[in-house]
Amino acid sequence: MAPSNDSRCLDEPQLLDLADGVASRELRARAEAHLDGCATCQAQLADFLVARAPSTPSPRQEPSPTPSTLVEDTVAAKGIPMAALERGTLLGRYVVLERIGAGGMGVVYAAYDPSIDRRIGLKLVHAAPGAVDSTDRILSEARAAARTQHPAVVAVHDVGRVDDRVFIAMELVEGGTLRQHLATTKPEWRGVLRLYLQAGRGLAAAHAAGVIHRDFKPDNVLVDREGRVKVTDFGLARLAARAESTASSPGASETLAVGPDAPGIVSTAAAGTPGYIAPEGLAGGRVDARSDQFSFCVALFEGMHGAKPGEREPLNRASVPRAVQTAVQRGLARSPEDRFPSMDALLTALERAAFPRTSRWLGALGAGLGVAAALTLLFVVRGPQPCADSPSRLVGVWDAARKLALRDAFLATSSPGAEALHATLVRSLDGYAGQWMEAHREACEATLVRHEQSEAAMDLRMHCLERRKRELHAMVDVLNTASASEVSNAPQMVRGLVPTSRCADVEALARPVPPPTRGQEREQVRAAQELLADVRARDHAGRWKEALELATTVESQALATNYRPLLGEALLAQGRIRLHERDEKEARQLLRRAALASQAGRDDEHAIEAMVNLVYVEGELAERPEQADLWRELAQSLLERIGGDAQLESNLAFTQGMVLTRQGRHAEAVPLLEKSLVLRERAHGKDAYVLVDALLALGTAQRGLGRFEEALATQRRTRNLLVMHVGHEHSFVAMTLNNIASTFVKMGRFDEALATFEESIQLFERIHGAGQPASYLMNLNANIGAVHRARGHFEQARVALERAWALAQGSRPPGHPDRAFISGHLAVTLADLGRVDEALARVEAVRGELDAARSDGRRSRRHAELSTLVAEILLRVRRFEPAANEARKAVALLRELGAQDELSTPLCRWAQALLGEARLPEAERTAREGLKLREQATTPDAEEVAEARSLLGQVLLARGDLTGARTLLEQALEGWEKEGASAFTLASTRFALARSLRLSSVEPERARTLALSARDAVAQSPPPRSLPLEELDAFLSEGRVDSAAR
Amino acid sequence: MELVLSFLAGASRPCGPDESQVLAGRLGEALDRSHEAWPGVVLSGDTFARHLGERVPPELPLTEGLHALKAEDLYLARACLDGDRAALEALQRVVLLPMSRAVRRVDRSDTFVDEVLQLTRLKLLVGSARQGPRLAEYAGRGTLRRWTEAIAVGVALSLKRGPPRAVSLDDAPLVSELHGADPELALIQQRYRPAFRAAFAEALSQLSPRDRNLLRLSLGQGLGVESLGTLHQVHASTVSRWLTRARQSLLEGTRAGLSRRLTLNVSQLDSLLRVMDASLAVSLSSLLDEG
Repeated sequence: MAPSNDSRCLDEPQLLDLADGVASRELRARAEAHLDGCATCQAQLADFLVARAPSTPSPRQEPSPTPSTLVEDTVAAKGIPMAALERGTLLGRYVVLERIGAGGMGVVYAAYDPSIDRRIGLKLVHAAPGAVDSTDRILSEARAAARTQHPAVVAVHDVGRVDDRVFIAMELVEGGTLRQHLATTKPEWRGVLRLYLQAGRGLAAAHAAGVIHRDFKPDNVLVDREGRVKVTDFGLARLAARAESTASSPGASETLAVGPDAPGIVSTAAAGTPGYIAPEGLAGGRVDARSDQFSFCVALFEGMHGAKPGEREPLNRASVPRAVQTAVQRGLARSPEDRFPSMDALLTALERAAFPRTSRWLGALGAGLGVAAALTLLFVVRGPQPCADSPSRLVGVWDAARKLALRDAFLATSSPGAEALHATLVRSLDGYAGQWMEAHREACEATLVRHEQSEAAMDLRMHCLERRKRELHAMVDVLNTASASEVSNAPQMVRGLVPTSRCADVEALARPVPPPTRGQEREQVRAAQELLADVRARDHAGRWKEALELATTVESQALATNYRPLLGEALLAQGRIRLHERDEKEARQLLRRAALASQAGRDDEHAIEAMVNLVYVEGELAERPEQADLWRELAQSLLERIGGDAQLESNLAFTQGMVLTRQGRHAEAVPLLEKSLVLRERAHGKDAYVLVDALLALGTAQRGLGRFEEALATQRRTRNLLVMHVGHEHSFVAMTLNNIASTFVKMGRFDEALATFEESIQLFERIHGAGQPASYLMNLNANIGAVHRARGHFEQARVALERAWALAQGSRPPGHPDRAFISGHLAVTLADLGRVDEALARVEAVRGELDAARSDGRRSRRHAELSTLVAEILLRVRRFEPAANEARKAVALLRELGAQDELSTPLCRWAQALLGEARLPEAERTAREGLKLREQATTPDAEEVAEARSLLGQVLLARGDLTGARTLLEQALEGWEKEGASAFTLASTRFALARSLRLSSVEPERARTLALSARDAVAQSPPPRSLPLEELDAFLSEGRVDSAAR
Repeated sequence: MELVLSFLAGASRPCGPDESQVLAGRLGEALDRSHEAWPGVVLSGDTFARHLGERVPPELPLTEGLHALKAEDLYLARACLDGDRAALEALQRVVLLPMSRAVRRVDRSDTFVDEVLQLTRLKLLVGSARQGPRLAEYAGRGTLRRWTEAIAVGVALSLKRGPPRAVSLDDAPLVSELHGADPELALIQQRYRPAFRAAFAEALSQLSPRDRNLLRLSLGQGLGVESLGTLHQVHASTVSRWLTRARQSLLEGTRAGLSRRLTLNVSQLDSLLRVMDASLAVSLSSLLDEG
């Protein structure tokens, strides 16, 4: 029986022995062998192990290796672990992004809150079976905790319930728990105390709001990457009220003494964690703020001494001042009455005992000038918490009164959804205000409390923060006077606020020439900078006219003070607005001056920003790639000098990638756009709104490279991202639809393409009204026309192109590439319909515009496209010489622009025209180059290759190389037929093959059949025909003569 | 002497001449102890002796084998199987009821505990269509209480678990995971998944059985290192070290297999693995099921 044992399943006694760790060596060996092949036993053993885990059943660990950033407490929840939520799941209004941690109380996900456009933490709490009844009460408590707004308290945005899950939407803190932080950084006792003082202030703030934590411990305190401390999980302990409490000793409610003398806590029926819970909580008595004080002191003691009170010989006993120890001991008193009356009192006592020198500041600081001295003075007068007044600094900027006023203003616009938009806005501005206060306190404490930073550095940071505050003020002012349409756009506007994190980069802040420090000039600069805040707010609101006027004022003030960085910013603001208005001349001039002024003022970041904008103006608006290249190189060298900046770099890579895409240099564009995308994903996450434009451009570039499936995937990701951020009914979504449809076109999925174009048009018109916005509808109609034409539906194509042309005339100046492009396509379509005179008239008109534009120095891929189209029309009417000229021009221009991808089409047209002119050696050379390019494309297009082969075959036929001609023509036909090309497309190739067969005197019947089918196809098209019927008829009758003669 | 004969019949092997004397004495003592332990329980000496004989481990000499058995517990078990009323009462009182504590560790509600005890009793005494009464399988090597505890915990867990989990090869979770993720990711994974699976399966088969089990239990079943430490009777940190090494060699093996299959260069493979890594845990648990 022994060896075959391995295949038999494990029975319960064996499983139990394994799970309890008492299995014999033999059993373990057998289990090892058996489990390897038996999933059922694996699952059973896992269950046994969980059920028998020591003491409380431990929660199953997170299976993913993702490091958890929000680690839970160790209180165990009962039952089966919650099923993981899939990415994209909606919980309330939140979109689940990824799981970032798990623990006894539940699971924490990173989620996206569309209403405030921010990543949040979403904690799902699995209520213990016994606690469900009281869930509502506890929830209301958690909601109360949400009212506590304090930098040292993890902000709770929302609390709700889905089925038996309670979820808490809260601020996402990236970092770890205080316990982990202490374990890795191992600070000396002062460092520990500083961290706990911060946490204590959070507790005190909560107490002031009437909220008790109930489970304070180092695992419920988070430390973010900047070292800021935040207390979390207020009042939640009771949700997980512990199931285990009665299991080990049924009925016995143990009252265990806790405190320095008797630390051994085993279990408790009350909420809280053994070891930290206050004696009165353990006894089931009344719990209040003083119970939190007890837990706080246990944790603090543990942090400073490496062990809980009474556990073992504490470390550092000697180095911690007696006064600190006394204060902690008082907090640990068994009776609540013997502790400090409040957390505040405890904190004050601790602070005094540990950092007595705070009271010596006045003497120590000499005659410090500027903000720092003023602040210090203020703090010393106020007492021992020098940086605690940060919150009050936003009074009058973003406070209760302003919120109410904003609500009235919103409602007054009677814009639909004003109420909801107001709520959204309040949330995101609250978030910004919170960050600001935190940044302010941090900047203050770094100098005044921690003494890590010079006063000059604090001055810089404070100055930066003051400007951000002024911008917030200006933004709220603008919102207060918002029109109905601005109201609906408000959430987008708020994205424009400069993140306060920029104010923490002292090195960057110190780079520009410092502003004047005294006298009238100082005041002027300050006033002008305040005005700049108003400019920015109006810029974001789209009030370009107002913004431009104000920016002009700032410019004149800047010129008066001669403070270059200010001038640079004023010019940059104006240039940006001109760029929005697509006024390339003004934008170019302003931005160039901006770049120079910022450079002169050593304000590198604004100089780079101006240069990046110039790359856009020159490359995208003016289509002067060599100018764009120059600015790009300058921007790059400056970036290198300042040691890189992720945001500016990603903007530059994006702009450059987009310009290259416009020039058809997709292969170069793709890596740049991908770089930009990666930089932005790294900074903002994979679902951030800022990814949209890079994704859009990347999709286009991928399509240009023939990587259609990738392009489609990128474009669909873009659309999903947009829908997530701005909803379905938005112009951006309509724009993305256009891109998706164009990819369908390239893939030959015409029905899907047409449907998607129509969807886009309808969406645009639903949002903007019929015929609006003209420039987009123009492109969409042009695209629809192109699709119809490709399918041989010439009349439908003409209708769509006429619509596009009408829109182009209204929205594009003469000579604009868009105009030329549409007009050219319309001309070819007219030629298709047999309306050759109209087509040629159009060609003349287009040529006029084109020449005017070229004399202006504009060059783009589109000019080449147009020339190619003109060549095509001329070929249609067999005017070979001008056709050859046009095609040659296109080839030359594309070579100059380095647009290798686009070169093959004009080459083929040129070869065709040369063939018509009977310039055979040139024709052969050109046709060979065209064929080579098409065969060697990254993803060769079968039809294009077939066309080029057919062309070369015809040239060879004309030169008398019958064998070569037949091979190529057969290949071409085969390729085309595989793609299901129409008889019309095949006609000229079939006829050429027919002729070469006859000249070779082989397969006379096949030659005749080929010629007949060519004639049938051509006869159906209107004159002038691509193949003259007379030629075909002559061929066919000659054949008859031949066979008759035989 | 009849006791000895019944015992030998149960064990279906003969004994040496001097052994029978010793056995007779031992069997008599066992019977006495049993009567003392379970007053009022009636079981004939012959039946008892035969029952003991059947359970003597074949690899041990008879005397030693008999000594190793928990005779009193086997007595009670046999009597219960024979339907003795007093024995059934004793089983309920002394063995089953104390199990409630172990069951509570799975779920503490009283109804659950009651249900589990009832089902356990049923299982011990009646059995199911497929299986006779489980009590007949009690071999007397450990105490009846511990043995019953194992059965009860098993019942409790299977009750909690609901219908048996599918352990077949099933891509559904993987596919649905992909649908939720972004399309590019889905594309790459779909394109390379066959190769990935093959490389992965190959790498997995090269691990030692211990490492495979560790990975399955930790990733597939979500067990923590503490529990796994208990299983292997080593410290949790050792398990964590083992796991790290196993995961590493799995990844390296997969990497090697993939690069061989796809003939990708190093940087291409790295970028592919980065994408794969994101849902490696998912892939792992789904693939590990296949063994």
